[in-house]
Amino acid sequence: MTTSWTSTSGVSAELWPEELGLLAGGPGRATEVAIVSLVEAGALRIARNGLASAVQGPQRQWTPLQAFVLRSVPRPLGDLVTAGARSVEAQSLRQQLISRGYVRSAGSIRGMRWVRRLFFLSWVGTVLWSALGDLPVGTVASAFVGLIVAMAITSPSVRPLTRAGRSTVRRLGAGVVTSQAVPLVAYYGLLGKVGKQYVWQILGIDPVASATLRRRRKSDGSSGSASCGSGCGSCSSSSCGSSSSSDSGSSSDSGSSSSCGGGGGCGGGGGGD
Amino acid sequence: MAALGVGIGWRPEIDLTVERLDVDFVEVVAENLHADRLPESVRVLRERGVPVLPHAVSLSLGGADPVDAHRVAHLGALAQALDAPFVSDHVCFVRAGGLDSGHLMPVPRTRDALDVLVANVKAAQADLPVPLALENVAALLEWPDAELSEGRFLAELVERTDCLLLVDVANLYANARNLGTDVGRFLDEIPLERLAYVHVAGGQEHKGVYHDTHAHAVLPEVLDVLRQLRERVDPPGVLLERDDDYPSDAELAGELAAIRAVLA
Repeated sequence: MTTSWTSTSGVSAELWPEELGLLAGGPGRATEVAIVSLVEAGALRIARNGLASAVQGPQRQWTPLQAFVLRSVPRPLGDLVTAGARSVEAQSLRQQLISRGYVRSAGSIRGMRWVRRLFFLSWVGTVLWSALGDLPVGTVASAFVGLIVAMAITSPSVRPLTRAGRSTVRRLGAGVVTSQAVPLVAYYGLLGKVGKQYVWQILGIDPVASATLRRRRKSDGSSGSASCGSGCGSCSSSSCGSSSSSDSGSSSDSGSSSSCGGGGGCGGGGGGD
Repeated sequence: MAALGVGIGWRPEIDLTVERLDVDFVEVVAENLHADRLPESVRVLRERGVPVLPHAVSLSLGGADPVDAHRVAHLGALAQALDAPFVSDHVCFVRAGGLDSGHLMPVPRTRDALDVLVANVKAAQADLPVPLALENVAALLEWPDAELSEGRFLAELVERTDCLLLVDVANLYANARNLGTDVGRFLDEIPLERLAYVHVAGGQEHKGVYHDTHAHAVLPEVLDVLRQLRERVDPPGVLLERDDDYPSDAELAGELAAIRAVLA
């Protein structure tokens, strides 16, 4: 694969930047990463008004999500991120992360949520039984403690990211520097903030272009599945700290989209064209 | 005529590229801009002192219908908003009988058609705050019974209206290739002292016909036509037109450098 990925990621040996973006912020974030990497590679332009368009040049090999982005332009940046987040390519990326143990499937999260509901209902039953006078108070108290312990133990299993996924996002956050556009976007998203600056500002993106980006609710992940609620779900709200990042303690004000201002300005990486 | 240098067509898709390129002036498509809401990029260029020239495509000066006063007013307002030294359109018609052609259609090179063109140009000039330059178009057909060569047609147009000339060497090359226009004769016949600036663009042959696409690289043959023009006159300005399939900044810079090399 000949892209700018490897030169700019420098974060995880085992995952591509798009995958890291998906872990940190969902499919919208992964699409942002694809867009920024294309701008860095000189294959995509984003005009001041946010219109993204392909740069004509020799054919190169792209990731499936990058190829989707290039097929989908010209299109306003915000629409491009939304379309990418809903694309088959982004879903495929997520499936790969599930199969590799970084993300939980929607089914497993749903199952664990049912288990937790059963725990709770059991405790409610215990309380009702106690109210009828047939159970000692100590038993109810013990059941309550048991409920708390069970909820605590099963809590990680309803998060979108596995321990490996969360650990990867933590490592991503630890290695992010503002001079590396791709990991920066993967971790924070284009609408994310580093200090007092938005990532799109750091990357030199025009405010008008950044205004085309839309913040999405945490639950607005393209998969619509429980397994992509916040962490791997499209992290697009301003406070979308992605579940994983909340675990990792990252700030992740993430956005759903982004832009790379017109080529050259995209992130320290040097000219987009 | 004031020197303009080497420029490029400003298009929204490549606005930041145009800002990064080393250009002396730019041209905007007049119909795509509003005088009271100029794009940020155009404002940036103007603040840098880069001349911005409005270029119209819809006046239809060669048509039998009267010139649309609203279109002329828009072009004039844009010229004033941009502080442009002149504006331009084409020697063509783009609508007739209430229908738009979607193309720049060539005008029959007859005395009657010239009379109509002259009347329309004079009407437009009367309402424009700055001089008007007119451009030769690329044609895929020639009307029958031409009474004048293209060069003579333009020369008489200039003589009767005092308009400026915008010579598109890519269009001239296309006409030479498709219709057999004699490039040397054309350049000898037009009044080069009335030259405002020059257009250069790329194209591609398709099924034996050369198309002035503005979406491909500039051919060496087009630069050769520019060279022939340069041998006769030092053009005040030369502008690279690219309207689609935009290449990298480096490639556009390379095309501008090739133009500068011809002019040197």
